[in-house]
Amino acid sequence: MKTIRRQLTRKLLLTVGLLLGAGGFTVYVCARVALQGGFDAALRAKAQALATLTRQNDSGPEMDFSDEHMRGFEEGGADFFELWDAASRTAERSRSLRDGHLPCRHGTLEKPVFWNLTLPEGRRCRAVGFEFRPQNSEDEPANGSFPEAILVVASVRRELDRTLTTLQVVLAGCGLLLLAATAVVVPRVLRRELKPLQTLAAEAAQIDAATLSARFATEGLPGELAPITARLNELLARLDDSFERERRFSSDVAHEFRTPVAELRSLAELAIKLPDARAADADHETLAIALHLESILTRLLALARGERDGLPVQRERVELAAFVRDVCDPFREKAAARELDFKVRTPANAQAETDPVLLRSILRNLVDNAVAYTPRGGVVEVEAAAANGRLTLRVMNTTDDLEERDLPHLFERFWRKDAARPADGHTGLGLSMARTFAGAIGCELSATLVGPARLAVALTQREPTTCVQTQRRE
Amino acid sequence: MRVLIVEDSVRLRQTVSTWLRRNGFAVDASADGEEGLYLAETNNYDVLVLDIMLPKLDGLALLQRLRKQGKRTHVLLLTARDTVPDRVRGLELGADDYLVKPFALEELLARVKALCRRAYGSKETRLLVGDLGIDTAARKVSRAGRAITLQPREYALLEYLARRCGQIVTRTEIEEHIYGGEVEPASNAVDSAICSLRQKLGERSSAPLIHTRRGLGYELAAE
Repeated sequence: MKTIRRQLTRKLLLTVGLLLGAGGFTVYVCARVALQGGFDAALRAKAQALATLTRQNDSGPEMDFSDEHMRGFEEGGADFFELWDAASRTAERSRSLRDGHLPCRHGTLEKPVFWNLTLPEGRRCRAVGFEFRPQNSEDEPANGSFPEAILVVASVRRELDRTLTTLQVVLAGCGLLLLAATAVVVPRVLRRELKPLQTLAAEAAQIDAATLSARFATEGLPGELAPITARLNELLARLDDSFERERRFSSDVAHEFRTPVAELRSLAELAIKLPDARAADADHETLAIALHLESILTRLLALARGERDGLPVQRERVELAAFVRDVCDPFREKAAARELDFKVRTPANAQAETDPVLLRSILRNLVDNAVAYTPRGGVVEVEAAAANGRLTLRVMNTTDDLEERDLPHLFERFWRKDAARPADGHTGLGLSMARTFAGAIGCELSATLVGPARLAVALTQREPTTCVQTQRRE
Repeated sequence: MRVLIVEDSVRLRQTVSTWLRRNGFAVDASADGEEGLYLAETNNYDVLVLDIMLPKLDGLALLQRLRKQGKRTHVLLLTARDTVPDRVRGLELGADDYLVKPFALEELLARVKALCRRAYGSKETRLLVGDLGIDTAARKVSRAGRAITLQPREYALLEYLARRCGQIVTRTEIEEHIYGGEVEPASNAVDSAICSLRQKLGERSSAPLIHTRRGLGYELAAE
């Protein structure tokens, strides 16, 4: 499998190998240049010394040379020289050359020529050659009247070659050792340093739909992984939240359907098994259950359609005062029975461009909730306005059990403050549906607690439309 | 056998109560957790049929508090929540059985009966006292091979006495377990039922099975 560790190991080894090769080669070349430079300097010094021993006679150049003074040129020695006159005739040569000759190549005294050569007996040498004007025998300074002579001096370069070979072996050996050490150390270091990544992968592998509450450890993580882990944890939290909502929703759907179905089934079974125990109002009960089930189904369907396809919106001009009164009036009787103070405030002649069907459904839901859940003797207030082209609608009511932490759940499907779902005809879907409808007509629906015991649910239009309002109030 | 039903759905509470009463159980019913807990604490029920989502005090909290007080009443959880974690949580808190809504009344009855049997330390569905045989599953009684027809409450009384065969059962215990809170303290309902049962068991011609222990109560035993 392609892993970061393997890739890093391979690339690091390749890089280290290349760097070691380049470094070793550079060191070798520098050392070779330096050693050969030293060798050449010594060779040149020998050649210059021999040049100073050369005199020009009438017969040609002659070298005042003795093996005893300059060791190495004797027979079997490691140094060689050969001197030529201007006509390239050999004038002198060292005994170490025996019968052999050196090639006659030369530069000038100031800029001599160096080259490698192999003597006939197979010895590898380094040679220097230059032309010069030898002094005359009367120790007169050389001048243009003397012909030039050519001197080539060579030395066996066995020691130089041995040193260079040793250097090559040492450099190659060190390079290989370093490469081997890198091959051993790098994977271990990478394994240790990439451990947080492996831990992260192991933790991620253990997370599934049932363990979304797990979080990645953030302690001691390297800087590169810390932001990834933080984002992953945020993502997990969101996923966990969504899954929890989904689970709660599925469970709530099951609960909302199971209870009325259980009621229906037990009523029917009892009527069949014990006909004499059949209650007089059994049919009414059955109808009430069927209507409740129908209400849940209709609302769920409306919500699903609203969220999936979007709702068809048909905007038209709505007279707010008449509209609000029309929605609120049917609730007055129920409000009076519960001794509620029911107040409706709408500006006269205020108009809004909106979908009256959806707006009616929203307002009816809000007022229905307010009237049903306001404690006996409490206050329900409905306000509507259309200022600056924006429709606003607010339903406030006294509440005795809602807390700030309940507000985010108010618009969740099937959420009810009382988990026991009292048989009040409410499905727990009204506010979810109202919020979906509000979105469809370009409004936002929000809930706040005004003071400790007053809930305000407000519908606010996001973008202004053509609305007209006069300031006179009912 | 005395059963307490704690269920907030009026319709379910009524139908289940009627069904169990008609099958010879003494039934008390409550609509919320607080009242249910009070009734369970102050009475000796054989079985508690408990909804989980209840007003005031949810069923699981009720169960937990009951168990903390050392009440060993057998509990059948009745709920719309059917997920495995829900069931496990209920059983871990001390419930004895779990029934998911919607349910068949027959299944509810069978489970309540099974819990009643467990309440008296027996798994048998056939009780034998001398030549008297009681099939608790079929609710049939026979003596010396002769089938005896009993009213539901008479059957409940006989089964209760048979389950406590060899023990003296006080009048108060009979009132509590068979009649619930329906009889007045000075009523002779228990005596009348015992008398009727003796007649149907043919105790005039056969060996008596129900013995009166004066000042103590009654005992069902073959002597």
